[in-house]
Amino acid sequence: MTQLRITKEAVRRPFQKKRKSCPFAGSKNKIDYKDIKTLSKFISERGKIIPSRISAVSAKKQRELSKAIKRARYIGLMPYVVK
Amino acid sequence: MPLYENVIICRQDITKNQLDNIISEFKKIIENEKGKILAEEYWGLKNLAYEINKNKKAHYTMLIIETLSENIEEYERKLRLHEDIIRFMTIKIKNYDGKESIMVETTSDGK
Repeated sequence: MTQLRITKEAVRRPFQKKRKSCPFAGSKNKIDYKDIKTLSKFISERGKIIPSRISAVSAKKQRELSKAIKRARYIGLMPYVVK
Repeated sequence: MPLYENVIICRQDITKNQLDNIISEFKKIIENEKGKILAEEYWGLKNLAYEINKNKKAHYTMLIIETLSENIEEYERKLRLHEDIIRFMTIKIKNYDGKESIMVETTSDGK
């Protein structure tokens, strides 16, 4: 008696974005609160931090990123909000 | 001894030599407690992203300090009392590779 294998076909997620690789994956550039050039790539035009599900940053790097952005904001290099 | 990276933000309308006195005064505070200043960088008079108590621009200075944590507490207490310093930030760092920070390169060529 063959083993009856019922495999549920995975429900296709509606928005299956191409798996973008984390921009900080290979390269050695450390996330630093001083280089606001790379940090400002990860904030929206209103100055908010872009969530990692959109910017495809790995969770570990996203934590470092948000800490660096918050430090840069504290010392006035980056705005809290852009009117 | 632990390494600290300290950014001092001074209000805009102080002259350069006033700023130098302030910074040398604080460096002496560290050196008296047998601490060491590994590096000092002046990032210049930069525009602030938002107004910090009525200042649109501010003098940025960064110090890499190697000293004990009690000295840092005393050092920060004095920073708070000083009226020309509007804000400061001290971060504990693991190692200092001696390279100049990105801010210095941008300010040096962007004269």
